[in-house]
Amino acid sequence: MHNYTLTELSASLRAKKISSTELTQHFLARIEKYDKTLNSFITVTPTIALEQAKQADLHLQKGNGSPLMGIPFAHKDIFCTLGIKTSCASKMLDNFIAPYDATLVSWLNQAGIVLLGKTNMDEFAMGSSNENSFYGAVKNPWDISRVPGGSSGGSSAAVAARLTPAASGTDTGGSIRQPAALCNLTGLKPTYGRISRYGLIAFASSLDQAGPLTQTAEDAALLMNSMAGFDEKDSTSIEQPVPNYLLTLNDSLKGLKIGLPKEYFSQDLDPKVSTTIQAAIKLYEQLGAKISRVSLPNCQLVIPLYYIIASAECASNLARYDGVRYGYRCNNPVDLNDLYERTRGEGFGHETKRRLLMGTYVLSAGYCDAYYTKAQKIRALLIEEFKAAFKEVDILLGPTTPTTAFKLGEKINDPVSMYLSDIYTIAISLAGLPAISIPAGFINGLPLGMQLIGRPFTEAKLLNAAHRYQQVTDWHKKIPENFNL
Amino acid sequence: MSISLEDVNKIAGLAKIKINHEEACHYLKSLQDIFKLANQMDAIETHSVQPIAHPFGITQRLRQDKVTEVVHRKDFQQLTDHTEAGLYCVPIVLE
Repeated sequence: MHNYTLTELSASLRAKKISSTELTQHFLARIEKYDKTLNSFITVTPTIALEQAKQADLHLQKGNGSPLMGIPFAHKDIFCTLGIKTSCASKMLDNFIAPYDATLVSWLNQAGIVLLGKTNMDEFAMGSSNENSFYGAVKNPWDISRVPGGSSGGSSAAVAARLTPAASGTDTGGSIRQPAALCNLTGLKPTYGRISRYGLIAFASSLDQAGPLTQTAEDAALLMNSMAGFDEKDSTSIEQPVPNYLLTLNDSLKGLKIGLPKEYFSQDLDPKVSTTIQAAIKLYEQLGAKISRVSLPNCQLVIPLYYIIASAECASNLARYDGVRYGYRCNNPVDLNDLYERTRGEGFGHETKRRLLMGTYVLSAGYCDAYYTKAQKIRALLIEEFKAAFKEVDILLGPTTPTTAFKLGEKINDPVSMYLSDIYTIAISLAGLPAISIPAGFINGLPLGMQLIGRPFTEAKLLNAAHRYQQVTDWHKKIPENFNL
Repeated sequence: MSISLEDVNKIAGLAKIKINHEEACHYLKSLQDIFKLANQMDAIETHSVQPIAHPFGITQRLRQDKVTEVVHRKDFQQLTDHTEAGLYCVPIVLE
């Protein structure tokens, strides 16, 4: 049962070949069996899941409900879920029971999904390895001595090991695409403003975007039909029509213009990664696409740009954690300043504190123009470069990550090296563009992802290009052996 | 520009985060490495460039000034043990 895609499970539920209760019990049993090894869930919600499954079965028996009715699902623990612990993988929110549902959660509930639980992540979504979690690191199902990527590492590991058919994630600088690539999944970061951020615990408000982590592009399209849309509760939500993402999945790619950013294929690129991506490019040519080269010169600077802008925004957003209204509070504060300083010193983890310090520094008097304003100016130049590239081509293609999954502990003490693992995903986030990572092959038994990037609000085109590729390849069907029993 | 230990302690104060000397030294080293990268931005001429506020140039959407939500004060205050008479409690600021 766990080998089926979300789309196949949806068909089985509707054909009454299986009930949502049976399906839910099956995935809960898999979580029980395997998650001691992976640590991909922070909270498992069996009582809620079985009750939701029971309700879904009633709808399915009557022949009504959406295509997601009765489908087991997991949410990254960054989304507020009414009455359920929502920790953001931080000691700061270890005792936080969300008093409302995020819009994304609410819309998927209305569609009939069954919540298996909340997945592990890097604390406040700050990280690329899922080692920055108060609840411990997540292991990659392809090799448990390696990271699953981050920050949506728990969602990725859980889907890769088929502990859930699909999961939600968030992507601020690559946090859906990078773990999708390292775990052999399809991960879509939609256009900034496409999916509501209401109830998504804020990290960097000009970058954060929610999206699906799935086995296939078809599954992602199915989920996007319920996830995307305008939400007046989110002031950054953009009012744009939402297409039916399933309708264009099979469109021909004949004449599709694909650009290869030369900065993504420099001599620094690992030859094995290059060979794998080149093979994918050849397949796209066979599918009728036309390949050309483009240039995005300021992509070389994306790491400092991102860490300045995202850190500045997180320094502002995380000011709310003061120990007064909710969350962790230090013991016996002697005065108000002591309450704030010890609460935040004890409640935040190392990486979060590093970014708060960095963000506070770049926003402080005397440094704001040199760092923050300068970074926002170069970001403007970068966006113009993308616009120029998209005058020539329909989509851009490149590797999602510079390497396959690295070892646990390998980069944890070297933040610059860790940050460089997001070098191919960050520019897209800074420009607010949609991008999808899909499985493109294996190197020494570890999966590698390829990234397709589109103009704003062209998720349907990206899903179409990803789906057609998945029709002629089977990388996305491979499951880690030790979790396929 | 280079960041010093004094800077780290100062910004920790501004960020309201208590750190000890050992932590300050640890953060100093990593922040210096990160700012070395950040200083690469100096090579880009941006004098005539406007900093962006939104990737698509969209301005903040406004809404009408009318009540749309009810404040669930009682529910929200259940998230902490430190309330009294409907107010949040903090250490005494003024005697």
